[in-house]
Amino acid sequence: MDTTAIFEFLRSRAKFAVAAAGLFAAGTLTSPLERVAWSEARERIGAFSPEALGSSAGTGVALGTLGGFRTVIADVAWLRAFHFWETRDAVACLKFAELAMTLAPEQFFFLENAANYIAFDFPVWEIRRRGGTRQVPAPVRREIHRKAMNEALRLLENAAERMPDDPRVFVLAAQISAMKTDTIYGAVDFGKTAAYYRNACERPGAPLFAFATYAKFAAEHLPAERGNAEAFLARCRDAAESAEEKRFFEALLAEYFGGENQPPHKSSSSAESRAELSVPASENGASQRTNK
Amino acid sequence: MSETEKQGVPAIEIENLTKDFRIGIRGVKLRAVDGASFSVRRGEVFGLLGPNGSGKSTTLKIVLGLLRPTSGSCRIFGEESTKVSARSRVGFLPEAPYFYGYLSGRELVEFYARLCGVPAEKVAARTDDALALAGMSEAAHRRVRTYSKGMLQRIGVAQAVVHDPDLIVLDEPTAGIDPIGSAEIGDAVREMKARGKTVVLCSHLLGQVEALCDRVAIMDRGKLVVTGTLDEVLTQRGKQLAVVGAGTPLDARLVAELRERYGLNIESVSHPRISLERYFLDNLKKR
Amino acid sequence: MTFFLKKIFWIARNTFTEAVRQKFFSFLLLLGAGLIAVSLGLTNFDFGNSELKFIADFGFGGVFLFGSVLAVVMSVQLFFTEIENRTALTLLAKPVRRCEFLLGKFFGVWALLGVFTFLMCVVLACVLSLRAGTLAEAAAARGLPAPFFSLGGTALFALMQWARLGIVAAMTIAVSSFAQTYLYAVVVSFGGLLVGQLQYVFQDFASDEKGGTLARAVAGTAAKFIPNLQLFNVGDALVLEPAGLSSAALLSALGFAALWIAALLAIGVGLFRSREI
Repeated sequence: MDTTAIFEFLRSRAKFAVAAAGLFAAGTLTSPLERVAWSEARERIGAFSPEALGSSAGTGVALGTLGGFRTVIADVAWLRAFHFWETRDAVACLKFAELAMTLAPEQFFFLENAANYIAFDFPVWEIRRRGGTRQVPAPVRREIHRKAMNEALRLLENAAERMPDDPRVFVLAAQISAMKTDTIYGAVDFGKTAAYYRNACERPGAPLFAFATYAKFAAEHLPAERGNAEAFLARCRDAAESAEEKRFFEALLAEYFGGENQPPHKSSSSAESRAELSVPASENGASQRTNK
Repeated sequence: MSETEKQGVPAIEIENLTKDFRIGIRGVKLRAVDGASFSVRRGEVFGLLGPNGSGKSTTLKIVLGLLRPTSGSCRIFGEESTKVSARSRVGFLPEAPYFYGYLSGRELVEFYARLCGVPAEKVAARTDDALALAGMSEAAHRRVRTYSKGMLQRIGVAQAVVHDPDLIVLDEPTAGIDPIGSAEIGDAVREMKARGKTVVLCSHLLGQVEALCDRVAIMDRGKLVVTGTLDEVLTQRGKQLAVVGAGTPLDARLVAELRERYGLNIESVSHPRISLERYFLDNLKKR
Repeated sequence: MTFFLKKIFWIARNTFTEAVRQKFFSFLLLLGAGLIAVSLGLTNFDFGNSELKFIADFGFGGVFLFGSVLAVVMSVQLFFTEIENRTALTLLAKPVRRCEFLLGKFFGVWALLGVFTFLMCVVLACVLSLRAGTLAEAAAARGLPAPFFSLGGTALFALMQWARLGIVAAMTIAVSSFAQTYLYAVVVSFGGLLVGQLQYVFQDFASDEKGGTLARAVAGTAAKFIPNLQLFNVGDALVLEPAGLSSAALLSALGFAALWIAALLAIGVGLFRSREI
């Protein structure tokens, strides 16, 4: 190609360069407007996961991420995850559960069940795959359970960053922590569990049983936390919006701490039982697992 | 330019027109029209002829302002063809037109009338006129997608004349239609000429061109081969033709001798004229 | 009205009439509306969402998916195909400028998308109203607050989607103005739509401090060439949340759409003017 031909070629393509410059100018000019609108829209868009796009569930992610129907596709993905849960295929089950959670990060149902699958079902399947409890030595079983627990808690902690005001995430983490540490170490890790409950209690709309359990753990098992817990519950009592709630905190303080935070008059029933009674069934993290 | 001067201006004036296309990613140059010059007079039916790829469609597109010439000029009634105002006096029927199939014939013609700036109160009357000229009044209410090929051509003629243009360009108006439809289009062209319009006809049907055109321009491989009246183009000056009552055409001297010697009745002696088709085959094939 | 605007109006009106009479439009409209109606019977497949959100999601998805298909296919069909099959020649041989032709085509397609979006949102609003009424009665019987649904928010959602589809149509017309084949125009336009939906990924990457400086600069620059189409993905906020969307965000998004449409059409006109047809 001679120089003239190259020049002619460039000249014929110049209009596309001008068009590209036009696009860039439009992008630059509109960016102040975009910033204002995007600040409110961004939080509603799920995180984009290139890893999920690369997987066999990629079509669903693409459609869900790009073109709406997020809830619907997330539900379909969850049905697939459930199918693999029934066939005890942990890898496939987790993949579709992750897809459902990617598409509908606001849906607690997916998170709750996925965390329970990871914490409670996957380690059992793994031990069975290796020949069952008789074949797998106790230290190895404990390691499998420990890994599963950490993975489930990591999932919940990541979710907590996404939904920092949702107490259910911390309640679920506390329940998993309590049950799994009991399985792994033969005793509940009260410190870790109480920290999750305390986190839950600090969120608006926390279930009352979280306060009760936190109070019980701190008072009976964590001497170092006792003072903190008492002061916290006293603050909760003072900030209580209803008389019923106030009475609940007073009962808790009386039950577990006594002393200067003694309530004016004691409730006839125990604080914990009242707290448990006031927890709606759907708030119970393990309720879905009972369907198994 | 005064009105009187304007009257003397040709309908189309093409001077040294050249058009290059760049093709392929390397931008290889292809010359579609190479220095063509001719003019079309007002009120005549002008045939622009040539084989496929001869550059006549490109020339037409330049006339209609759809393409810009690489060099040279094209003026319509004295105005540069690239100007929008020049096109307000032009009607065009493209080859094998594809019109809006979901509109009725009337809606289609009305749409074109409005685009050409026909005043709202005159749109209906002009549409009726155009439909009548094209012989489409009966089928005007039907959707265009139900039309036959011949009807499509005729509705094309109607949209081309609806704004009463002074110059009408018809590109292959009879392509693919039956002899009756073709004859009807021919009648429409004669009617346009009778109304004082200038018609540029681009057609492969040479018999029809011969019957309708006053003058022709013939193009081949981008160049203008010949231009003139049909007599000028087709008459073979180097030859003579004797029309005799019977027998074989003969040389004039021989004819005179034959008359004296044999008493043959010779009615006239003229130059022979070949058919346009013969001209194409003899002259364009050799080039 | 000047002759310039009149010509654009007539081309737009003709484009709209031609498009609205096509079966493809009715088919997509019925499919989308049917999907929203069917969502009422599919709520058993829902896991934990509010029922109204589940139904609304069908509506949002339907408007976006079918609206995008309509925007791309109709823009290519009504603009590019007319150039290809020479219908455009009959128009451009008249005293019609190329920019008038292009703008007329765009406004015709956009009007069609407006009708589509409006009708889809009417169906969505009807289904949501119907279900919200029933759910409100059930909630009242149990002493619970009624689920929230905003009719005005649905209208604003329709407006936002119309703006988004306007960008998609303008983008498709800009692509069609230089495309040489139908397939190229459709594929490149859908590609543009896809990239527009994922533009925010470039933005996220550019603002991620963990990334390399050069890579972030490249991502930030790349993001400037494409409109962020996820900006209009605010159906939940407008339709189902009492707080809705702030006026500033709403007006900014609409202004954003108007500027991008203008820019894309200007580019389309520029490319189309130099096109040899």
